[in-house]
Amino acid sequence: MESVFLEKTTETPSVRMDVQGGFIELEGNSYPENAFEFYQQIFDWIDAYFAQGADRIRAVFRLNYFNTSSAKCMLNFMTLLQKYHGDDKMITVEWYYEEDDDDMLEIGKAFSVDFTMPFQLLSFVD
Amino acid sequence: MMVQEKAQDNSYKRFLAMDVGITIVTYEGICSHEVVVQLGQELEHLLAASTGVRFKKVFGVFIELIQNIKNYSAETVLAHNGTECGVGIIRVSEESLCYTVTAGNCIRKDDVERIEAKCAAVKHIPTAELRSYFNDRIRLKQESTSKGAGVGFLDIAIKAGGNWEYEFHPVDDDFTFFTITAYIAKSKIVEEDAKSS
Repeated sequence: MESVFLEKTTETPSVRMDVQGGFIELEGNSYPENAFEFYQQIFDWIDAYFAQGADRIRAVFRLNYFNTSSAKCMLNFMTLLQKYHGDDKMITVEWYYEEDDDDMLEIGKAFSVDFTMPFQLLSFVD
Repeated sequence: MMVQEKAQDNSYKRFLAMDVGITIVTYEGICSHEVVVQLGQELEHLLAASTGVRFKKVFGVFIELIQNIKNYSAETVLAHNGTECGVGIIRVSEESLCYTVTAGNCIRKDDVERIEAKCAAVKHIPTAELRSYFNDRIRLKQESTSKGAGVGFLDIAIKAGGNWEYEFHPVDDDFTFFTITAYIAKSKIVEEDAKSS
């Protein structure tokens, strides 16, 4: 099991999947040509990470903008994390939004209400 | 599929004749993924400094609309990498109190009813309730005809604070020209005023 780092592009976020640190961090924009394909590789990594015995993950979302296909993927992301939360893994989600970015805040709020895993909404100033 | 050229030409002329203020970007043609990314970057460069967090709304509506053209325009051509991409027209412009993003493309006459019903349904939702509709819709299974999340119109309506409109203009026996225009207020105060008036 290896840590993986995907470089940021104009339309995809950087993704740091860290085995030793036990975290996954996304940062940047997300409007890929095929969002479902892009996020599937991340979901596969998470499944493999837990399959090899990990008991916790910290998931950090620092997204600037994402399109609606990516929003659907974010929902799938949360659903996957929630599943491992249900399997007694220790899951923490940190959802960052730029101060005054009500779109990013509101979608995070909806996730935090929908899912029972620990979920933090954190604002930052650009 | 190429649409009858002369009728199509009139659709673009009508589109360009719309009075939507000072143009920032106009693009007409193939909306491949590379074009989406390139135009997005230019828009970011032209607008980001002046509008801060409101820019994200303009940018978001722009990306959603141009990806709609790419995925759903009835007029398509093969891109250099062999993928079939939609053709259409998109414009971002500026007025004193708002930014306007307008997109137009051909759709099949058979699809007009379905798309019109979809637009009307979103238009009917009170602005304050758009987000909860979005959250509900995104949790549903995807429609089989959709390449995206099926919530594009809702997303546009949210970012425009309910200030958006759509039109259909018949092109010929087979095609109709479909346009969406979204108005994004330059400040939250302007957006609130527009809602209450």
